[in-house]
Amino acid sequence: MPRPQPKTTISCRLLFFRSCANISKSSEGEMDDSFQRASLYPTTLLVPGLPANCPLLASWSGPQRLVLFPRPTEGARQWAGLAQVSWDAAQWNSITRRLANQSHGYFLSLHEAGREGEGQSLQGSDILLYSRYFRSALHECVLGLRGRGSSSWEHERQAQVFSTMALVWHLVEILFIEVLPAGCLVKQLVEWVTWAGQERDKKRLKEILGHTPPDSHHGYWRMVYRLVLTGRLSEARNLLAHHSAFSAREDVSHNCSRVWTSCWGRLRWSDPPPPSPEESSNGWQQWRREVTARREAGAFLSLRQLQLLSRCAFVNTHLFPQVLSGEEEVFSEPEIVGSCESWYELMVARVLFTTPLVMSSDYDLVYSAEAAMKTFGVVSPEPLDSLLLAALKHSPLEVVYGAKLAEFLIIEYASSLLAHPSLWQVAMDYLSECPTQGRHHMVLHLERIPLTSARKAAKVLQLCRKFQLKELEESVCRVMAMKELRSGRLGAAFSWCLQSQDSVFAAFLAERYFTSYQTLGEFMDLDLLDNLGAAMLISKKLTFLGKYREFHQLFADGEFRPAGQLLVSLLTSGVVPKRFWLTLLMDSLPLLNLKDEIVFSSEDTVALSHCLQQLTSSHSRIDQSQSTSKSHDSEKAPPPDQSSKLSLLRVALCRNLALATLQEAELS
Amino acid sequence: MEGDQPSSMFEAKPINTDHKDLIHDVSYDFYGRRMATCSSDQSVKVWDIGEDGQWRCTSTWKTHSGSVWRVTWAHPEFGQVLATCSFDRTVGVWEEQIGDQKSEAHWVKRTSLVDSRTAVNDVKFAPRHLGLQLASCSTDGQLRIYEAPDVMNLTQWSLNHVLSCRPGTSCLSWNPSTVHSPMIVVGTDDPSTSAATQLLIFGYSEETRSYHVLAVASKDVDIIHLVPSGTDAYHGTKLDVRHPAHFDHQGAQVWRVAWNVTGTNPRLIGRRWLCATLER
Repeated sequence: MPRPQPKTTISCRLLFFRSCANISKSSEGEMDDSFQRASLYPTTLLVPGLPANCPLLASWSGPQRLVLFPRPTEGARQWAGLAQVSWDAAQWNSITRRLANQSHGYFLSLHEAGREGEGQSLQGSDILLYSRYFRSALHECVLGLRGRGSSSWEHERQAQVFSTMALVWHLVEILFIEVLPAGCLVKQLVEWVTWAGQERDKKRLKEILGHTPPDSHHGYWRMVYRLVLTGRLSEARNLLAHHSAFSAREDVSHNCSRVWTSCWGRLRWSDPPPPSPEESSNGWQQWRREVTARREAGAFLSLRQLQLLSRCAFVNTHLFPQVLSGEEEVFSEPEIVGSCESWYELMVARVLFTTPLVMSSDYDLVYSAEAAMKTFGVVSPEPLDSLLLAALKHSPLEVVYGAKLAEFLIIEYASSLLAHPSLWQVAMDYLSECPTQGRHHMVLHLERIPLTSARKAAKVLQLCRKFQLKELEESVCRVMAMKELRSGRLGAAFSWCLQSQDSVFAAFLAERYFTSYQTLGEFMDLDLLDNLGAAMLISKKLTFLGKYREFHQLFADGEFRPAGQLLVSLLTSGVVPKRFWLTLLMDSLPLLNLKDEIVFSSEDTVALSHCLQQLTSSHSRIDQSQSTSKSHDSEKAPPPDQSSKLSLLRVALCRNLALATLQEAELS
Repeated sequence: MEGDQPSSMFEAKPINTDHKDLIHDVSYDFYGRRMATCSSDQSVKVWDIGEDGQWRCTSTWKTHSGSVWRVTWAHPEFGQVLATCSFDRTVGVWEEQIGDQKSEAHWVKRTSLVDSRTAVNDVKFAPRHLGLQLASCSTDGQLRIYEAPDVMNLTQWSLNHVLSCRPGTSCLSWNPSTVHSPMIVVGTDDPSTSAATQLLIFGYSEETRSYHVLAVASKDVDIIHLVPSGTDAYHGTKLDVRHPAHFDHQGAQVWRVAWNVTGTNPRLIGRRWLCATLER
C-alpha cells in the first residue's frame, strides 16, 4: 500500500502510444489498408505533482490534451486532484501559424490551377513557382523564429525543423521539379549547398580579411578550400591573392591568376543561358588540360596547399578512359573533409570536380553521396540523411505508395492543425482535397468544433452546405437552437431551426411557441412569424402557427369573413392538436357575436359545433377515467372557468346557426 | 519519434478540485470546453474553461447518497444534460437551468433510475444518431438500456433492454460509428472470472429488435481485431476476434473501455492502453 506522498515531489510515468502508418514493414508497393495498425512509438513523460507509484486514470481533454488522476485504491487517501497534460502546445505560435496560412494559400492555388487545367497536368513552371513561394515562406518562418529577442529552446527546435525541411525541399525541387539540361544540375547543387550557409561564410570571410596578414588566421586555408570546393573560384582567387607569399613570389601569383581567370572563364560557369552539353563538356576538358599543363610545368609546386587544390581539379571524368583513380582519394584528405560542414557539401564538391555533367538520374550522384557519407564518418544515418539519400536515389515514397500515402499525410497534417483553434478552417480545406477519407474525417472534426458564437456556427454551417453535410447542418442548428431555448429566446431558436429546414425540431418549437402564447396571451417575436414565408411548409405545426397568425392579422384588419373561413379550415384540417382547440374555438367567439354580419355559414357553424362536441366528450371521458384511476394525462379535466367558456361557445354557436340558416333561406 | 521526448515539449499543470474525497471520474462535454468531476464525497462539480485557458468551477452539488462512480455528458443537441451513477444503486439525470443572471446556472434533477439492485458502475449516453438513450451496468452484471422517447421531456425514460453479463461489470462504451448498427462493449472487472470472458460486445439487430452478443474477448488480449464473418442467427454481423499484436503487460484488469472516434477501435484501458480494431 503506497504511503501518501506530498504533492510537490516525484513524478509518474505516462506512456504515450502513437499509431503511424506501417510503411517500413509493408512489402514493396503494398500499402496497408488500415493505417492504424501496429507500429506504435512509445513516448514517456514525467508528470510532476502526482503521487508516485500509483495507477493512473486518464481522460482525453481535447486535441493533444489529457487529464490524469490517480486511481483510487482502498484505504489510502491519495491526492484528490487532477493533472492536465498538454503537448506540442507551442507548436502553433504566431510565426508558424503564418507559415500554415501561407502554405495553405499555395496549396489551394495549386489545386485550383490543377482543376482549371481540366485533366491536363500542371505546367512545370506553375509547380516551380509555388515551390519557390513555399521555400521562401519556410525561410521567412525560420528567420522569424530565430530573430525573436530571446529565442527559446522550443523556437530553436522549430527553426531547425523548418530549415531542414527547406533543405530537403530545395533538393527535391532541383532533382524533380526544375530539371535543366546537363551541366546545370551541378550548379544547382552548389547553390543548394551554399544557400543555407551564405551569411555565415560572408561573416567568416570578412573576419579573415580583417586580419593582417589574412593567412595567419587559423581559418584561412579552410576558407580557401571551402570556396574552391563550392565553386566560388573567383572569391578563392581573391583570397589567395591576399596570401603573404604571393606578394613575394610574383610568378606564382601570376600563374595562379591565369589559371583562375582564363581556364575557369572558359567554362562560362555562370553565364545565362546555360551552355549546351557539348559546350560544357568542351569547357571542362579544356579546363583540365590547362590545369594539367600548368601543374606539370610546376606552377603549383611552391605551396603544398595549392598542389592539393590542383589535384582536386585534375580528377578525370568518364570522358577520359584513363582514370587516375588515385586522385579520387583527394576527397578523403582530412583537410578537404574538414572544410566541409556536412557530408552533402563534400558530395557536391566531389560531383563538381569529378562528374560535373551529371544528370539527376545518374548513379554517379548516389555513388558520390554514399562515398561522401562514408568519408564523413556517418555511421548511423539520421532521418535527414536518409531522406536526402532517398531523394538522390529517386525513390520518393509517393512513387512507390501512390496517392494513399499522400492522403494519409494530409490528414495527419490537418489533424495537427486542429490543435490550434484559429486554424480549423485551414484544416478543413486540406481535408476537402482528400478524395477517399477526407470527407469522413471532415465530418468527425467539424462536429467537434465548439460553437462559441453565432458567427462561428455560421462559418461551420457554410462549410456544411458547401460539402453537403446535411445531417451535420441539422445537428449544428439544433445545438444553437437549444442554447437559445434554454435562455428563453424562442424566436432566435426558431431562426436557427429554419436555417437547416429541420422539420422535426420545427414541429417541436411550434408547439412550444403556441404553448407560450396560451400562457402569455400574446405572441412573442412576431417578426419571425410574419416573415416565415415558404419556411412555413417544413412542418405541419409550423404551417398551423403561420396560418394562425394570419388569422389574427385578418381579424385585426377587420376582414372577418376571411378570418372566419381560415379558422374553420384550421380546425377541420386536422393540423391542430386537440389541446389547442379550445383556444381556437374561443377565438371564434368574437366573430360569432358580431352584431352586423354573420361570418360563419350554417355549414361552418355545424363544423365548429362538431369540434366543440368532440372536445367536451373527450373531457368527460377524462373526468370519468380520472375518478376511477390515478393516471396523469397531459389533458386535464376542464377547470370551472373552462366549462363556462364551453357553455358560452355553445350558446353563441346555436345562435349563429339559427341566424345563418335564416339568412341562407332568405337568399335562396 | 523513438525514445523519450524532451520534457519541455510537454506542459503539465495541476488542477485543484476541492473535492473532499477521491475522484472517480472526469468527463468532458462534446466540445471539450466543459468538464464534470465526481467523487466519493457524493458530489459532482462542473467546470468551464475560461478565455485564459483556466478551468473554473461553476457548479457543485450533492448528487447521490453514496460515492459517485461515473459522470457523463449528453450530446449538446439535447441541451446541457449530465448522467451520474453511484454506489447507492441509482442513476441520476441532471439538466442545467439558467437563472436570470448567467452566473446563476444550477443543475436540476430530472429523474432517478432505480431499477438496479446493486451498485451501478458505469453510465453512458448513446451516440447522438441513436436518439436520447442511456446505458448503465451494475455489479450484478446487468446492463440496462433506457430511452427518453420525448427528447424534451427528461423526466420520462423507458427501460427498453436488460442484458445479462457476468457479475462484476465495471465499464461500458457505445460504438460511436454511424455506419454500423448500435453496438456496446462491456468490460468485467471481477478478478474471479475465468480468463474467457472479460469483454462482451453486444450488437443490436433490427429483426429481433434486441441486443445480442456479437463477440467475446479474453483477458489476455492486447489488440483485438474484430472482423465481420458472415451473419449469425439474428442476421447480425458475427465478429471474429483476432490478435494481431501484443504489448508486454501482465494481465491488466479492465477498468475502462472506449471506442475511438471513428468507431473502429474499441480500446480497453487497464494499467496501460490496449487497442482493438473493427473492420467494416
